[in-house]
Amino acid sequence: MGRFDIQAEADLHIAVLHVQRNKRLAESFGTTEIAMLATVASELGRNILKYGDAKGYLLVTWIDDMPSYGNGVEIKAIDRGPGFIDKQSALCDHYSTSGTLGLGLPGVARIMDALEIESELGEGAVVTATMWVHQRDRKH
Amino acid sequence: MGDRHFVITRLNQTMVATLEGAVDAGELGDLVDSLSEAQARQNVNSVVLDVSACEVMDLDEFAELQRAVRTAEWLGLRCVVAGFKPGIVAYIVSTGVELGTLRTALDLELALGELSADCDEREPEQQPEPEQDAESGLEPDSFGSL
Repeated sequence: MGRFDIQAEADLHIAVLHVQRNKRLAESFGTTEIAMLATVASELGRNILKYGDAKGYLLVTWIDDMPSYGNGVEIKAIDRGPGFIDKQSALCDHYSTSGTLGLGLPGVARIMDALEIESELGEGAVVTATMWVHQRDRKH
Repeated sequence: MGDRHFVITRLNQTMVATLEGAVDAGELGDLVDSLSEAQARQNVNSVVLDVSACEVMDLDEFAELQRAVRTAEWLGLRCVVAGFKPGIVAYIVSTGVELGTLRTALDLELALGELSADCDEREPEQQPEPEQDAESGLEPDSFGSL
């Protein structure tokens, strides 16, 4: 669906708009889910700006007919920043290395069906969030 | 970038700030400056932040909005946020963010109604003057004291 280089706030808005207006997503997800996907893109993209030295990109990919899961969308945030100090803690509420609320990643984990972090200190990070169509476990 | 993403209009003693699209900390700071100027010059005592044009709001943006609301309230302005989209609410509620004392309304009209109701509660009701009995010259209430 698209790759969006994230180097400034304006790039985030472009990525968010693309997610909001993507026809494939609109056919498969409701308006609230689309808004949440767009917000997830914004959260992960903003993390690239804040923690990834603004050297990264978002990759939004449609997943076609994954066995056991069906169709879905994957939002991947890739950056070449310093990487995560503590991946496990990053998924805990109120953990923040920058004085913020610390609810961004845990919030994304609650909303999406899957969230994965791959990172080595000093070698950037890849954060992958996935939402499946129609097979979402309604947590809320 | 240079483009402002909010428009301010005035309705009686209420400023209505319509946020357009995404807003960032700098712009919300400008907004609060505009509101405090308006409060000083134009006898404004309340503000509605109309976010009905905001389709998406991540937690950073929401935190900035909360900060702007708190600042406005500390300046003495009553503040209502109107028009949160369902997707934004669903996201924010799902993340577990504390909403605190944020006052919200479904739309601008309801927000203005709520602020107007606040004013009505604050102004003491005018007590009707007691009617005098034309024949006796006594006020009806005087019997109550016997």
